[in-house]
Amino acid sequence: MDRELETAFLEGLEQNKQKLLRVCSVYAADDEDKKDLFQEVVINIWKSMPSFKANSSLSTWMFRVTLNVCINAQTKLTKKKKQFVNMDSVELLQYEGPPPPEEESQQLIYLRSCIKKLNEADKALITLALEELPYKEIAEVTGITENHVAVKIKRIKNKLLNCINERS
Amino acid sequence: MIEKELSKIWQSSPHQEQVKFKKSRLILEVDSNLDRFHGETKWLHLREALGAIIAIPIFGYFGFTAPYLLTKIGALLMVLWATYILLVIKRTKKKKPAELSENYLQYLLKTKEYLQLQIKLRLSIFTWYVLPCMTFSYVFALGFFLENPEATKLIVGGGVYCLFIGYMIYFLNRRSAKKVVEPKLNKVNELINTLEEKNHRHPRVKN
Repeated sequence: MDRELETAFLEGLEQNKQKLLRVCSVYAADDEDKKDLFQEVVINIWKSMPSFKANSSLSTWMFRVTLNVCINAQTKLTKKKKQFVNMDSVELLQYEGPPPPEEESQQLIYLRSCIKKLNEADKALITLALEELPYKEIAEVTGITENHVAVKIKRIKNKLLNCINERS
Repeated sequence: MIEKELSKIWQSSPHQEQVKFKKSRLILEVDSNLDRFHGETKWLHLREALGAIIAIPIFGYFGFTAPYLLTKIGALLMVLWATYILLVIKRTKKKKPAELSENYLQYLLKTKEYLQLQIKLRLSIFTWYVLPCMTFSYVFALGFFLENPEATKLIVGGGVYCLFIGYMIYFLNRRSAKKVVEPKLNKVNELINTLEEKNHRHPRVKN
């Protein structure tokens, strides 16, 4: 693979790593699963880089691959088996700075558990919306119309708000 | 809580967890992982086709050298059947969704097509796999046994054994179609329906 693609991959990953990890987190059962899924995403993004045509932004394209890897992990016909060996260069670290306000942490826990209750399609839409991707880009990633995206996201957000309010 | 707060809460997760890359090693590791993956995939494909690859030359040899007509016919039919199996494996692999950069809906539609094909193949395994394999191998063996008048027990025993193996293959495949593939297909269908829910009746909503 040429140097230009390699640089684009590394830069794109650096810019989007937290976002992609958050997307993986809603499809993973636990932390170990999340790390495995994220590694699979990284490897598949690299594998698919030559097919990146710059018709959309690199980050939109990375979201697209991420969602497909996540759904692929759930529809595999073979028994779940670790496909890739651990990559030492990728680490998930606990944040070492001052802890976030307790209320914020609690709400994040509620939000994550409410998202996990949604079906996979709604999970995909809401995670992209929460990453503040414009509806146009969400439409590109998911393959549905912009107007449809807007309607669905509004509904899912209401569902989430109700779920969080019930819990808190 | 207002809607905008949701994004704020969602994006606060870096405060809890961070991804760190050692860029210099990342590419090397990803490449070596991919090499390993390609190696395993190649082996897996070979393993799937191995039965047919081994059967073709062996039965081909018997087809020309066996002294009995029935054995010759059985062997040649086995060669044809094994070739057909190789084609089925190849055709099925082509349907497997591999293009991860397609949009989510397209990817789901391709996954649906692949899973439907898997169900079809598993449910019809009796006609394209079990029946020809059992019949042709029995005809092949029959050629040898018929020359030996004392082999009646072997002929009957072989037939019963063939039926038993055939039934097990048929049963296991039907079960996996119902218990493994169908639930996944239902899930994919549900996702497609959720995404494709017709939107022309929805009012326009601004971003």
